[in-house]
Amino acid sequence: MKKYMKAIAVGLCIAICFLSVKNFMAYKFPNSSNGMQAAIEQKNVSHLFMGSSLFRQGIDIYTAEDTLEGNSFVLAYNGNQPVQMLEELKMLLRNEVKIDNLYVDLYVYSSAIRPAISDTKLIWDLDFQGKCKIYQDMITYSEAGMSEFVDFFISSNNEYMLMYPVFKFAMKKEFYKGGNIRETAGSTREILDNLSLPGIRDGINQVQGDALKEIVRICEEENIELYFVEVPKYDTLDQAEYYVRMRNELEYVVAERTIIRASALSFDNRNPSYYQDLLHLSGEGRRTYTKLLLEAVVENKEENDE
Amino acid sequence: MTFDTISFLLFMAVMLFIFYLIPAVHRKYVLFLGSVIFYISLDWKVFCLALGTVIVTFLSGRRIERQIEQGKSAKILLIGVIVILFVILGIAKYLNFFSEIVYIVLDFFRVNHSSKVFELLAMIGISYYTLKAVSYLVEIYQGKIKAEKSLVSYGTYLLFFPQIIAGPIATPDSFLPQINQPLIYKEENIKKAIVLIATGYMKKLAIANVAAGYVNSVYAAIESRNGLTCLFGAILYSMQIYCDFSGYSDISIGVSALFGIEVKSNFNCPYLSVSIKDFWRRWHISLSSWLRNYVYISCGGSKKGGLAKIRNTMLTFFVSGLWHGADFTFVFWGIYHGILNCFCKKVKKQEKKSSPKAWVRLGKIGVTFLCVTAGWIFFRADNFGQAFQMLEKICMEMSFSEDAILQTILVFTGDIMSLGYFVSVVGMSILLMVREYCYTYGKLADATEKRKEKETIIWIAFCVFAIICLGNFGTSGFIYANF
Repeated sequence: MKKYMKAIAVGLCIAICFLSVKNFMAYKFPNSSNGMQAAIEQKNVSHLFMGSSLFRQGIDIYTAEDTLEGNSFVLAYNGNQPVQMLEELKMLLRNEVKIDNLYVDLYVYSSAIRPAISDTKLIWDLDFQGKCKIYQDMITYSEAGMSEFVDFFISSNNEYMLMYPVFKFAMKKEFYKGGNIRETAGSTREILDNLSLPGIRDGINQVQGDALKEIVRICEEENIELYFVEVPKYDTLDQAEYYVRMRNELEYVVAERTIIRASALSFDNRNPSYYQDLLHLSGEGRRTYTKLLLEAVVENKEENDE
Repeated sequence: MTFDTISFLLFMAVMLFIFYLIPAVHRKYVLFLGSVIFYISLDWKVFCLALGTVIVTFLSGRRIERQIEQGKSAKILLIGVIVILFVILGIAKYLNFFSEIVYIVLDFFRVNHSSKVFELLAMIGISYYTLKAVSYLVEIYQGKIKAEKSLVSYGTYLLFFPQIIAGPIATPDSFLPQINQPLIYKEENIKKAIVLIATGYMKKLAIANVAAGYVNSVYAAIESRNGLTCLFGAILYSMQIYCDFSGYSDISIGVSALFGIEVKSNFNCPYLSVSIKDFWRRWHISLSSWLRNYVYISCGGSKKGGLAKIRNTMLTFFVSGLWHGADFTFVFWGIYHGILNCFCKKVKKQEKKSSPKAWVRLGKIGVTFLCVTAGWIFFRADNFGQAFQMLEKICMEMSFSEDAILQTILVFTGDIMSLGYFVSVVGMSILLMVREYCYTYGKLADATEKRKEKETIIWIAFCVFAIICLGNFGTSGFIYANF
């Protein structure tokens, strides 16, 4: 009987050690291909693209390196919200990463919800201070309870930690300087036109809006050139009345900043080969869009210099 | 309050504390009261019905025994009570199913009718306690057991809380003698309980709940999946349903052992079966035994041979399918297994002659597993269209290209992070199967008790770690609680 009890105790101890390492030390695990650790490793990032999966699928890192001067990096997490981007920025600055230009994903859907985690990789990547702040936001603004605590500090990323070497290898194949290098095929007009639109949201969340303003403040303080970037959505979504309304609302929050709207670029958002779905670009779409976006950025810089 | 909730763990802790606080002879009262509270917490209306069943079948059992003792026939009383029990069960479970058939007939003759006249009632536990009550009455009628004199003992048998949601369907001859003895503390029981409960929770939380995410994602959009993804979806559903149900059974048997009640195993490594017939000796043993005793043998079994044997087999599996749910897909699943069983009986003789070499055995295990998995596709599907779409994808659109493999592994968003999810569920499933293989055919099958205990201790520690670190606590409920 004693042996059985000891076995339970040993299992518990191993689990507690495992979870402690994950929560307190995971962000120190080296990763040179994507995420916060790879960004910190860069030390100087001339052009940091910070956003959601729209950036992961929409910014072509090779095109960025060819077009822009200096070092480029894509920091993207699924559904990355402004409150989370704020913590990511703070952590980079805490780790003395020098950023010259910051491009923030102006994504309506992640700004129109209460603080919540949509990519557990972010929990892994943040230091303990950042993790606690994100969780505190979830308690304060999203009434997070026991279930969220378990998800956040116990369940998330355990498989990732167990298979860390495998992931490290897979990540290297998939990412370069945070940018997605996997070639993804486009869709067809028939499929895209029949896809149902993402759900309607009430409007831009106050906390997310405040986080965007805080990002603006920090960038001013740290002398970082800030751009808000809208990744082009497929035509049916782009034309949806509620989407246009929310986008205008979001643009209003950062009205005094440089916004590079998708509509300002000559990107064809009816071309099905550019899209995987209504939101995410294909490999071809990614290259075309990045080229157009960065031309606009360079043009904007030249105008400002004049 | 199912097994995978904190409230159940708290309830069990309080029950154990009170149970071992009072003298052994009175402990059955604690179990009865606990079962009543547990059932009321699930659904007090269904509890009232269950309590009615307890009283009616208790009195009927005594009456049947008295009539037999007096040399009178108790057949009418027995049949009458059984019919009433099955009518109630039928109303609770199958009203929608039969109304659907009526609607199809009415539609065929173009007769106007309102679309939903009946509404299905969800009655947790009714399938299980009804079968227990029927076996109790039949055993008395056949003179195999004596009618129970204590209503509390009988009530505990029918409503025993670890078994009420999804079985196992304990037999009266094994359960009632135990409850009527003082329920004393035995270290062996507690040891057994620890292993079973740890294994059960590991199966449920670290395999079944995790596999459910993958399976649901595949079934939600079959049209956009490739053949390989559909095949993995089907295989992982086989693992999900096994780990969900056998996990529940393990916890149930383990909890029973904590209270000094021994219950027979409900599963015996079913995916290591070498034939379909073998599978049904290892899968949901308590229901299979019930169906064999009260349907197959009651209809004549294999005595008359030939066509009668086939008819009885098909009827038994038809009933099995119908018992699982009010849907044509379940009936089809039952008939499918009936056909496989009839075929299997014909090849039985060849089976006996076959070589016992490991690779031959593995081949047979593989073929049986695929046949069972094909059946689960119908079991899981919402309708025939979905099931055939899955089969069509698997048979016609199978590809092993890099793209197909990537889509299969990264099934959710194409995000590399879902690699961990996939490897975890597949790895845990393989580990469980390897352990079962070692205990059934491998080195551990003939190992010394000391060696087995050593392995068991490592296994417990592993299960605790896997539950905490790889468990998915988000999904609630057990698949078989719906049946």
